[in-house]
Amino acid sequence: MRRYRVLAASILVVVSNGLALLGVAWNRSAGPVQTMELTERELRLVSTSPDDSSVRLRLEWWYPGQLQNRTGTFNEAKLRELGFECPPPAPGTRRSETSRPAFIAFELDPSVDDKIPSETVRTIVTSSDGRPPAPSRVRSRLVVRDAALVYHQLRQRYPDTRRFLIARGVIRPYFLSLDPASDAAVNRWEGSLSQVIPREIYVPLPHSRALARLKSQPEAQRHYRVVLHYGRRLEPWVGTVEVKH
Amino acid sequence: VDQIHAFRRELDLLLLEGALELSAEQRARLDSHLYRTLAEFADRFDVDITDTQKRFSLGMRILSTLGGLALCMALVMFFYRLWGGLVTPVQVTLLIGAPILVLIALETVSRRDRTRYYTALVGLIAVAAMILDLSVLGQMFNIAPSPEPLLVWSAFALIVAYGYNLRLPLAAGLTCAAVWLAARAVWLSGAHWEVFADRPEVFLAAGTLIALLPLVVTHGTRADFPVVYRVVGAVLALGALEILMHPSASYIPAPDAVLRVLYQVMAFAVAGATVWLGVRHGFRDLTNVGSAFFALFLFDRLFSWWWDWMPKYLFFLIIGATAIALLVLFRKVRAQSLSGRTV
Repeated sequence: MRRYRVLAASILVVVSNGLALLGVAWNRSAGPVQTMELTERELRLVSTSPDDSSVRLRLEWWYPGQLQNRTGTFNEAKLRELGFECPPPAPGTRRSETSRPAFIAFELDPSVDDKIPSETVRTIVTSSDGRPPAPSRVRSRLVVRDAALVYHQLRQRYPDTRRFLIARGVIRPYFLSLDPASDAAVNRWEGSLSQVIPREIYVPLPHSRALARLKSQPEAQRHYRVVLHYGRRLEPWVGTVEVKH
Repeated sequence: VDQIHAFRRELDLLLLEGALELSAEQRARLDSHLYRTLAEFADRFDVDITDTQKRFSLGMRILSTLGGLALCMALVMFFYRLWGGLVTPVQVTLLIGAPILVLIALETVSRRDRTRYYTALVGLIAVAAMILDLSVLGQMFNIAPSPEPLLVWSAFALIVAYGYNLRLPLAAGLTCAAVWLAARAVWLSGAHWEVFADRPEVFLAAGTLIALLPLVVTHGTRADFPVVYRVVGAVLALGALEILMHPSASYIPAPDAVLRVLYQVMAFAVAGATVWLGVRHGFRDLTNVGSAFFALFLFDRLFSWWWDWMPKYLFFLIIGATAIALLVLFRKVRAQSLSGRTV
């Protein structure tokens, strides 16, 4: 053991890193399976401390149910399709279920501004980190449309790769006793998209240079376009970045 | 060294009580032999031969742990500080090179360091460098997170622990293995692997297994390792029971009320059994962990049952009385075990 300890540990380092890099190469080997041009509205620049020089973007989205002051994105039927049990309410029945992974279809809806009155928009913006929206935050045009357990199933339903983005996500179910809009008893299961995987998208050099300069500016003054590619394993990478001054 | 000191104390007592008589020459020869033996131990193994040295050693162990943790933080912060200014190939080379470089440093230090404080410190940095390596590589290439790095970290930490006889990497390796098992089990059930803490039953099984492992696996010269196994295992299993006492999700398809009663009874039974095992086999570590969790479970239950409706003075009075009752109980168990040993 003593003789081979450095060798064994070093082999583990090289092999594990090698496997991870092979996975990255496999993801990108066939070129992007989907490409989408997004702006600062959908990809928020993550604020970091001065000790962190990396540049990362976070995907922002919203869902139509928010307009009607409904809390859930997915109804009971969809949750069952995604593998949740959703047991009927009965005394002693468990009313919590564990989050499950799924593929999520987002629609990039350019006409979103026409559809929603501006005063409503400010109150319904959701961010991926679950924090309440800042009044000045720009609204994402990415709308959650659907979810499925199989990627190809979802892609068949939404074949336009420029309009529909499919990403991995996590669905969190919860039991709703009262309707938030009417306060009436509803007793139903609903689900929401709790996170998109990966949570943040790393921007490497040289693309990060221009975005890094924007970090010091107020959020309302940051304007940029990012071409985002997704590979075979639905792991994204940044294609190009264009900062608008 | 401890045996020699104990022998000396017992010898002084026997001479004082007149149960043994030694001539001045015999005493001088014995003292000289014991002194030579101690000096040889100190020279060969750099062990503490006086109480003052022992106290210093404890301080140095604490310092090396704190120093190791601070240096790990420095390494992480330094990486992030530089990170944005480096191109991808340099980043990848640095990430892979860092743990290997620290391993080489660890080997060099361990060959020269008889006290093992510096070895422990560099060992901790090696494990941190490995964790940083795979975490940052995953972030850099936007890799979908998976539990597999936990298995790699566990294997790496165990190689460092067994290769260099280090306790902290052993604890880290065992914990990572338990978390990996729990995450994999959650993933197999179809749930998102990151919510492994919501279903802690696997920690209960893994913790029990880890705690019992030293009974079947002998550790030879690594005399400290069984203690680490027992403490890590007991903390994982009893910690899991603390979460399971308030069920939100479980692998067992039963109503919450049934699970709550089941796990509450189990928590007290397992904590009691841990104390009993510790007392019976003379494992002070197990006794301490078991007693601490027994008290935690008890206060948790009392708080849950009575805090809302009971006057606060009465609540604290009952807590105090319970603590005294526990002290009496543990004293009795201790006395019984002592009398059992003397018979």
